[in-house]
Amino acid sequence: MKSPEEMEKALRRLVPPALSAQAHADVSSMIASLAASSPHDTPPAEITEIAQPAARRGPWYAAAAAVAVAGLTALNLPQSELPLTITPDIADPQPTIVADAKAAPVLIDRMLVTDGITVEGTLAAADGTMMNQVQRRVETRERYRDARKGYLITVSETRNEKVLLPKKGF
Amino acid sequence: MSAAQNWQQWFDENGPRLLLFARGWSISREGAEDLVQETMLRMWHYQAERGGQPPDLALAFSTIRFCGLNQKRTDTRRKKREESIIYLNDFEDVWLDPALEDDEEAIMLREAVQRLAPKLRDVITMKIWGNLTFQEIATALGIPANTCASRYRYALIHLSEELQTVKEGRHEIA
Repeated sequence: MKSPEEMEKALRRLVPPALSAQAHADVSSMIASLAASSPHDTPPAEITEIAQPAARRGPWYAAAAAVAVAGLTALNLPQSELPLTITPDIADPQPTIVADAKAAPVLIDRMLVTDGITVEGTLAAADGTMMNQVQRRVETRERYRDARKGYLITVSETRNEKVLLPKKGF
Repeated sequence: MSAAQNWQQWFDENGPRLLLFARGWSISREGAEDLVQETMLRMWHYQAERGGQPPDLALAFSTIRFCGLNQKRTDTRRKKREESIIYLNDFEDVWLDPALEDDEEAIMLREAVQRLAPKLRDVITMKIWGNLTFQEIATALGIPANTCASRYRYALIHLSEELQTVKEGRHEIA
């Protein structure tokens, strides 16, 4: 009969089996997916200087010129729900791809939520049309479904917009 | 090195150890692989609040045991429903890699390890293939370190006796 020490040596010669290729790929894909949505793997966001309104940093005639140009532009644009976006902060409405197609969550829906509407003042266009300068908070919410795990992921992005809207009443 | 790379490297290194331990907590190899995946997910979230680094192996074993207990409850319920089904043996379903050690003694030893009582097998797996200390095993299993050491010694003696019995039995047949 072998001694415990000999048994230890004999056992150490045996090697645990590797995971199947599919299981290994599944876990690796899960790690990549978790890391992509984790703050530990995301570089800190760049802090950029918030642009001040032109009226606060330039001479008065620059502000007047800007208002006149904005008013004229408004007249030439087709009517829509958001006719004049002065400072759109979002450039690309397409969702960003953060993982490979096999592991990437599937986009279910996207919605825009507008709130925090503040009227900052009234402006007069060259033709006499009165416009309200409105600041509002717009939140884009995207919902993704992780098909493999069944998780529902909500990605939310909030931005501030300034728009000129025709003044309808006093 | 990013968190993903850290975790991937940790998983590449320890995946087989996790699978071997999980195999003792699941009725099939596929079930054990699911257990490993669930464990990785739980540990990711657990470690995320503690700096996001991969865990130590003792914690991983402990998590597998926790997940295994949960799965076992489900398996027991399922087993009762499937009592009439006859399962065929899967000859590829081995716990220790047969490709590397093909001599007769290695095969007998693998089979003997598979037949060990779960509480002995857990200690042997964590000590031999996890390289954990008795104190780490004790923490992972929630038992005293002396009990771990006793189980370990008992398991080695038991394996040695069984190996001897099997060898003698084969010689008598020959």
